[in-house]
This record gives sequence, structure tokens and C-alpha cells, in this order.
Amino acid sequence: MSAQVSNLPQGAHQAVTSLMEAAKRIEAGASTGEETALRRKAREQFAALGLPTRRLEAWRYTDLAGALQGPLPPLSSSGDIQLNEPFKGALGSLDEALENARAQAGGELSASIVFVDGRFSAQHSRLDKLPKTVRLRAGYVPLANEDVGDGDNDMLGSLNLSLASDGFEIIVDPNAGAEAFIHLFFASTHKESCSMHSRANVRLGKGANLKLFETHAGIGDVPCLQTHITDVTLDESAKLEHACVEDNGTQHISLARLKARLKQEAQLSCAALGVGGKLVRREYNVLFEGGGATAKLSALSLANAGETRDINAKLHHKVPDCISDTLVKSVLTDDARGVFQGLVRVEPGATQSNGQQTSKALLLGRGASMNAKPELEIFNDDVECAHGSAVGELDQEALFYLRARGISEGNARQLLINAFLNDVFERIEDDALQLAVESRALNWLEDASVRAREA
Amino acid sequence: MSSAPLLQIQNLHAEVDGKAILRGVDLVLERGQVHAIMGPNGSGKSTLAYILAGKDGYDITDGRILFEGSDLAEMDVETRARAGLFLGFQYPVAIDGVATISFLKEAVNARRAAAGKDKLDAVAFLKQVRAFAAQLSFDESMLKRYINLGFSGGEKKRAEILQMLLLEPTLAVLDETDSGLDVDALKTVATGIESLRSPERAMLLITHYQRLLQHVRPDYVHIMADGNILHSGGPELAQKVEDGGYAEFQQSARTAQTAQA
Amino acid sequence: MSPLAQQTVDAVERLRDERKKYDFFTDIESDKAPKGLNEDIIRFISAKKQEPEWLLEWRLRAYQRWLKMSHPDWARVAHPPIDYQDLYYYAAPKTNVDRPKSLDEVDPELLRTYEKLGIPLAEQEILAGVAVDAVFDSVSVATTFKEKLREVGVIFSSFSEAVQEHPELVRRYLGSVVPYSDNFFATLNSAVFTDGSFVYIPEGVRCPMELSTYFRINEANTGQFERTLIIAEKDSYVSYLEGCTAPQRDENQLHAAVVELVALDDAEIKYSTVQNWYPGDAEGKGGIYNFVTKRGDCRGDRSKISWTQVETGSAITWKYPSCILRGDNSVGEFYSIAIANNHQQIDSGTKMLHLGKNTSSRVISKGISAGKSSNCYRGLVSIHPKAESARNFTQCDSLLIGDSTSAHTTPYIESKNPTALLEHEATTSKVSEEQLFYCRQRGIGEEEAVALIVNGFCREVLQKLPMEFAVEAQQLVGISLEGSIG
Repeated sequence: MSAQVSNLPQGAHQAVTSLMEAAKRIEAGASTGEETALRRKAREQFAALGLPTRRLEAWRYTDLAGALQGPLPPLSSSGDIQLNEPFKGALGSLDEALENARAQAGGELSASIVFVDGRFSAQHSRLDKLPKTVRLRAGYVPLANEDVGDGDNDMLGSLNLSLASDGFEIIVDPNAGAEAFIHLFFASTHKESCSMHSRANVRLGKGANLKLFETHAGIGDVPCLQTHITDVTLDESAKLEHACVEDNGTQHISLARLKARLKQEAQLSCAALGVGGKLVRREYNVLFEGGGATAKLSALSLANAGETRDINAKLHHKVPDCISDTLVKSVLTDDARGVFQGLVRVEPGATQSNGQQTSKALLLGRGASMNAKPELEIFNDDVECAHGSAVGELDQEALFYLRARGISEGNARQLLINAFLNDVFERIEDDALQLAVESRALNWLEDASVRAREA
Repeated sequence: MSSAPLLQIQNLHAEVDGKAILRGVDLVLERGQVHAIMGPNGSGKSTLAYILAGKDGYDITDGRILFEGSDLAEMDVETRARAGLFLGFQYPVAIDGVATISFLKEAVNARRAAAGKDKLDAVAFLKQVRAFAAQLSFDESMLKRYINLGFSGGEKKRAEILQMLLLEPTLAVLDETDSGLDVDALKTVATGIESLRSPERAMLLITHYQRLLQHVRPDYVHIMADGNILHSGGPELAQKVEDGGYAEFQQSARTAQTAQA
Repeated sequence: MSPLAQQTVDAVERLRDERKKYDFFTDIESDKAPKGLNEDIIRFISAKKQEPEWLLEWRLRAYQRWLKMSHPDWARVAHPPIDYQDLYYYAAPKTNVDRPKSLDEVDPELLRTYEKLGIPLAEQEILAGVAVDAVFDSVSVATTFKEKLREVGVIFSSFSEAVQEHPELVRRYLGSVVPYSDNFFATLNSAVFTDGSFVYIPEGVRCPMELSTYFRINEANTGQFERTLIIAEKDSYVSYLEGCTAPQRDENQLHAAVVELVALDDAEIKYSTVQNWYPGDAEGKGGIYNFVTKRGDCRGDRSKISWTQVETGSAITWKYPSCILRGDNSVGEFYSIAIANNHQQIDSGTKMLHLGKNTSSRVISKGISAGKSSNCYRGLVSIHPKAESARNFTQCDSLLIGDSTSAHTTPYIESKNPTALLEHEATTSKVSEEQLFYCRQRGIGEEEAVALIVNGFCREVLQKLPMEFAVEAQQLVGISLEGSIG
């Protein structure tokens, strides 16, 4: 690892050193021998891999090392978080922000799980209305069933596993959960540079249903690295709707991964809105294990000056008759950067697979850039796969047309951007989730820098 | 030419993807005759058409089909076509990038080569195509378009008839050629079919409705249901179906079966 | 017979007597460098070619660089490691003694293909490398064409000749598009290339004929590390054809060619390739490894470079003909048909680098995979910050035949200018049972039907080929896919 670290810029070097030291501490303090072994394996893996360089295909367009600028010690587990600390920022106080998010969700929540600075907060959470068929465990989730194995033995997987201190687990009984709507709230209130690492397991039994609404809210401009891995298993005919809004502080780096195994006829629907934070990177890793399953991924990347949004979606068709459909839309102002890397892989036996990928980006700023790589790997002829990608600016003719009808340029731009985003909103089936994502996105559009003509 | 009937179907049992569809069909077509097979959806009409043409997945499990005295089962799809067996498809498939005219030329020359004739030169071929296209009110610009791609239902059917006229089959099997046609188009198509009628060839019209048969009068009509021919007769049968539907034939067949049992 | 083929035969007839006056090979017949690669071999090659000192230096710099490079591993191709010390880097052309005495000694499969392509007997002998008196020597043929070209000032010669006769041009442009340090294979080529083609079109000249390597080089020996340099001066035009539709006998397993194109203001270069090297047998034994670096530099404003390729041969094809769109309003095009059958592996595509204002590019790729092959489109469209109003359209379609084959698409789409507009579409489809049945019901045989459908799929690219090539290429498409169904 020394070789890896020594080549890094100073800031990244300090970050990695602080993370490694913390990992050793956590490893030493593990409650079981099993956990110690697992954490050590993960730490050694991370040490061997180091930070991803842009030579690594999955990080080709995002310079993580360059984004890390100093030590990022994980917040310790000693309970030094002052939950009553005033939380002031764009969203108001923590309570206000939480209320706001809950209101967005439409008031039919069965539970609200709150994490403050990566730690579960019983005080802010509300778990009383949860149906009995939905079993929830929040706080420290034992790592016993984890493994560094398949597809997760990369930098993010091993770093998270070596450092994760908190998280949650949701298990929905077979055929249950029709009304279950769980809100997850991640608040960042820290005053100093730090990192936070959490994990979640979500398992839906046969025919079970669940709606998950995840919000990340942060304040200020203190550097922070957040890693969060959600492990989803959907049994036969289970259905998960997941929507996520990432609205972090300006120096926040968020690396999130949602990996999902889908059994027969299972349905996964994910929507992600990345709107706040220096870097929001979201990975989807979907494995079709049962025939007839579907996965619909929708992502909205909205970014202003100095920000990067990175969506990485891998859909692995291992069995016949599955459908995957990915849509990523990016609106980039100033010198914002957008990234989409998609991969649809269809195995030899996975006949009648349907895989669609679309990436569209609007560049609104002089220095804005978009990088897209929608990849296909097809190993049999009985498939229907396509991808499309478009990058450009607002349609000048349409803009002129609207202005000729008396609409101000700012409003006209907003209208057109709204139209550009609309089909993403429409893909979110659940009304409450759709509204939550849409309202935050439209709120961003109100922002002057989006409305303004580029310099 | 042999004195055997043009087509003999004997006790034909067939299945599609392992599912029994035809259950003992007997049918003889002599040269010069036009036969119509009528029947409700799912009766096995289209299966019979595909079996005759030799489509994969359509398997004869018992009985046999003799075409000019030879066993059809021994011939692959293109050999049957070159021997003069033409299938007018109910749903002709589109092939992107392949111009209709080049396709026609390929097909015509394949048939000619099999008959020991020289390839048609481009001019003679084009002349013939144009004449038939005019006869069928088939817009010539369509010939440059890709096979059936973006064709309307009516255009597809006209294209099928145009191909039939060019290929001069000895046996034409037309599967629901009347579906999706308006009255004028139906007349044009019928005239096209009628123009091919001759003592050397036979036709098998497969149809759900009677309307095509008002324009192309068959010599024989067969009623098919549940994979079998329940009733055969003259053109008057078609009218009977039009008036009373298929129920009565199916009913009488069941009665007959019960009586036998 | 295609006009091109007819022209060839005529040329052979005319030259048959004339060529007896020359014997091009006598002076090098005894030359053969030992196996292996080292500085001495490079010095030997350079000396044999009586090259100027600067070119030797250049070769040696490339060699030193190459020693530090490693074999690229990012492409989707697999092969056993290549032992670069086990290759000959300089060998004199085969003497008649080594050649087949007549077509009777040639692989009947090869002859069958020639016949299908309608290649005249005289040409078959040349392609198969038969040692007969009537073998037309391509170098001699070139001389007749040269007469015509000289009248308009076009230089079309072997690379070695150009080094002797136009050293200033070679020195100015060699490596200016593909630097000697570019990539593993290009660097290897820079060190050891033995010959190739050189074309120079003077300002304002429209080259009066299609230029073809087919007429010029004795392919059997210069094909391995070939180097091509084409320069189109202001307001000039040239169409260049490389390769031919007939599979060529070739004993070199590794090919690493480099092609550099330079188009100045208002110039246009159209470069068409039909690559039909030996693909190996149906079990995947043998076949050429083809690692090619091709790049065009639209150096001038309003210049245009258009690549068209039909890739059907080789066991491995690793090839990305690219355009650097440097001049304002310059245009780059890439039209490709890549057919992989049996155990062939193709990793091919293009790079369109937009640097200038109002630059535009168009990429149409048709990949066909059959048998147990692997076919990958790999492409890059990159818009630099200064490329105002750049445009790209990419259409990338894969057609699969059979359930043991694979098709991959890896497009990189990078835009750093908000006024640029990029559109990319990709589809995957198969030759459907329905389509095959329909064609066969009309009497068209199965293989003809596949050829017909595949040609339809490739239509847009076939139309971009020069007329002489197009018909043969269509036949080639069908032949390449023989045995892919059933």
C-alpha cells in the first residue's frame, strides 16, 4: 500500500492514512473474532487496491484522489454526536429539514429512520407505525453474513466493510408490506473534516412490497467522505421502489452503491436525484437471478460549479426473460461534470433479454462536460438491447419560439429544462416518491445559475 | 408431368412446439382447382399452410403430404418453393435494408434456375415486374423500399400477390390474404389471384371470412375446426358459414363423433 | 468481371513482354536476416533500404521506446503471447522455388472462394502466390499508372522509393499523425517497417483514378509491417483502396501496419479497406493477427477524411481508424462492416477527436457476429472545449447469428463544449427465423438468404464503397458467413 499512497497527492495521502488508521482501530475493537477477520481482510484488500486511479475503467472519468483534500477520520463510535446541536443550513434546522423531507414523502410513512453524521439517532427516528410484518433493525448491523466476495471486492466495497459502524436492516415477510413506506434520512452536521460509513440490508420475501425514500441532507462546506452500501435481495415477485435524493453540503463526497439480486418476477425500481455535493457517485449493481424480473433505474444528475455527478449502472442478465431499463439525465451548469457508465451484460443462456440504456445530458455552462459510456456485452442472439446517448445544449430554436411568444428567457429555459427532465419523473410510479424527487429538482431549477444564460 | 394429383394430404397429424394441432386432415387438390379452407381462429388453418411450406417447429407426426407425387417432408423450404409451392403469408415479415426489387429478382432467378432456365436479364425482369405492379395498382416506388418495411396492411398483401404473379407457382397457398384489405384493394387482389387461375395450377385459399370468395369463386370449400376438416362441399358452403357461422358445423361434428362413440 | 479486374488483366497482358527485361528480385534474393528483434536487425533493414541517417535514428528511438512498452490488454481479444524474438523482421521475397507450381498445389478452399468472387484465373494465380511466368509484377504495373499520375503531379510509390526520391516529404510527415511512441504496435512498426505506400497529391489536384495497393505491392512480403503515408495538399482529392476481396495467401501471422493520412485545407481523402486475410480454420486454428493503427489528421480547414472498411478476415482484428478534426469545419467519417465468424475476434471502431470549430463526424458501424466469434465495437467521440458547434452522429448496430456468438459495444462519449451536439444510437438484433423462412419460401437458399439479410443490414456502409469494390464486397459478405446457419 505504501507504494500506492506515496504516489498520491498530499491531500489524498492524508485521507487514506486517516482511513487506514481508523480501520485498524475498528478492527481491534471488533466484538467477535469473525468480525475482526472480516474487517482485516477488507482493510488489507483496500490497502492493496489503494484509491482508484483514472486508469481503472470504473473510475475513468472521476478523479477521487484529486477530490480528497486532507484527513477524513471516521466519526468515532463513542457517541460524541450532539443531536441537539443546532443544524443550520439551506434546509433550516435538522428538525425542519426532517419535517420537510417527511412532508415531501406525503405523510403516509410507516417509519422514519434517521442517521446523524453516520450514526443512528433513536431520538429523531419514528418506528412506531411500522407493521409487524416488516422487521427493522437500525444501528449497528453485525457483519457476520457479509463477505468481500463477488463484485464487491473493490475499493468502495473493502473500504466500507473495514470502516462501517452503523446501518440498518429491513426484512419484509412474504406477501407483506403492501403499505410499508419507510423514510431514511441521513443528515450531516459535522463541523470538521470527517468520514462516515454505513451499510444496509434490505430483504423482501416472496411477493412482498416496500417503498423506500432516502434523503441525504448536509450543510456548510466542511469536507466529508460518505460511503454507503445497500444490499438488496428481492425474492420471487417482490417489489421494491426506491427513491433517493442526495442534497449534501458543498464539500461532501458521497459514494453509494446499491446492489440487488432479483429472483423470479421480482421488480426493482430505483430513482436517484443527485443535487447537492462536490461529488455524488451512485453505483447500481443488479443481478438477475430469476426469470421475468425487471429493473428500472432512473437517475437525475443536477450539478453546478465544481461539482461532479457520476452514475454507474451494471445490469447483469444471467437468466432468460428479464428486462432492464436505465435512463440517466444530466443538467450541468458552469464547469460541472457529469458521468454515466452503463453496462448491460447478457449471458449465453439469458435468452429473450431486454436491456435498454439511455443517457441524455444538457450542458448549460461554458466549462461543463459530460462523459458517457453505455456498454453492451451480449453473449446470445435472442436479445433485444439498445442504447442511446445524446449530449447538447438547449434547443435554440425552441428557446426562440417560446420567447417569440412573450415568455422571458429565464422562464423559457426553465420550461425547456423541465420538459427535458419530465420523463424521469414520470418513470417514478409512486406519487409520493415522484413528488418528492420532482419538487427538489424543480427547486434546483429555480436557482439563478440554471436560469441564467451561460456566460 | 406425372398423373398424380398436384397435392395429396393423407391423414395429416401435426404439432407445433409439441402441441397437437392437426388431427388427421385429408385433402386432394387437382390441377386447375381452387379450394378454400374456412374455419374459426385456432382451427389449424395457418398451421396447415406452414406445414405445407415447411416451417421449422411445425412437425408432421403422422400421415403424409404428396406434392406432384413426391413426399413433401423430404424437401426443404426452398426446394418446395422452387418446385412451385407458394405461400402468401398472413403476416409478411419486414427485412430492413433489402430492397423489394432485389429480393424479387433473387427469388425469380432461384425459381428459374431450378427449372433449368437462364436468369432473366435486368430489363426483361423489370418489364415484367412493372406490368404486374400496374395490374395490382402497386406503386412502383414501393419496389425500391425495403421488403415490407413500413408497408401498410394492404400494401403487404399486394406485395405478396405481386410475388405470386412473378413466381408463377403451380400451387398457391394464400393464408388470410383478404384480411386487412378495404373493398377496392380486395377487388384488386382478387383480380390478381383470378388472373393466375389456369388448368396447370391449383390454389388453396385459407380464410376466416367469405368475402374473398365472392371475388374468387372456389370449386370446393372445406370447413376446418379443431385440426380437422369437418365438412366439404361446393361454394355454397361459404354462404352457409356467412349466414350461420361455424357453430353449427362444429355442433354437427360433435354429434357425429358422439354417434360414432 | 469488375472494371477493376479487367483493368488488371489488360495491364498484365501489356506488361507480359516488357517485364522480361527486368528482374526486380535478383539483388536481394539471397538476403535474409536471422530471426529476432534487436538494434542490429533494425540497422540491417535500414541499410538494405539505403535509408538516410535520420530515419535510422527514428527507427532506433522507436525500438528503445518499444522495449519499455507492454502489450495492450484492454481490447476484447485473447491469444497466446506473441514471441517477438521468434519472428523474421526482414526476409527477401519468396523465390519461385518456394512457391506453389500451379493452382493445383493451392488450398482448394481458397480457390473455391476465388471462384465465388469471380476472380479471373490470372489474378487467382497472383493472389495464391503461384510461380508462373505470367505473374504480373505489381511493381511493373505501377509504372504504367505512374505515367498517368506523373502528368498531374501525383506521387504514388512504395514507401522505400519515397524515402529515396522525396526524403523531405517523408521526413516532414512521417510520424506526424501517428508518432513513433503512439502505441505498442505502432511503435513496433516504426522500428521495423519494411515497406508500404506513399501518396502525395499536390495542391488543387483531383487524383484522376482510384489508387490501390492491389496494383502496387508484392503483398506476400511487405504486408507484415506495412507503413502508409498519404498527404493531400490544399484543395486536393484522392480515393485510396487498400486490400482486396480475395483472401490472400500469407504466412506471416502477425501484422502490425500503420497508416497516416494528412489532409490540408479543403482537401479530401477517402480511404477504403477490404480486409480478408486468412481467418483461421473453422476450429480457430491459425489465422492472421491484425493489429493496425490508422489515423487521419484533418489538419486544414474544411478538410475531410473518410474511412470505409469491410473487415471479414484475420483471426484477430484490432483496428481503430480515427480522425483528428483539427481544422475548423473539418469532417470525419467512419463507415464499417465487421464480420466475425467461427472463432474470429474483432475489436474495432474509431476515434473522432473534435478540436476545431464546426467540426462534424459521422460513425456508422455494422457488426455481424456468427459462429463462436466475438465482435466488439469500441469507439470514442471526444469534443474538446474549443470545438464550438461540433456535431457527431453515431449509429452502431450489431447483428447476431446463432447462440454461441457474442457482440459488444463500448462507446466512449465525451463532450467538453456545451454548443456541441452528440447523438449516439446502438441496437442489437438477430437474423430472425421469420425472415429466413420468408426468403426460403420464395425459393432463396438459406445461405443466400443470410447473405441477403446481412447485406441489407450493411447497406448503408456498402453504399459508401467505391463502385468497383461494392459488388465484390457484397459477395464477400455472403461468403464470410458461410456455415454460420444450421
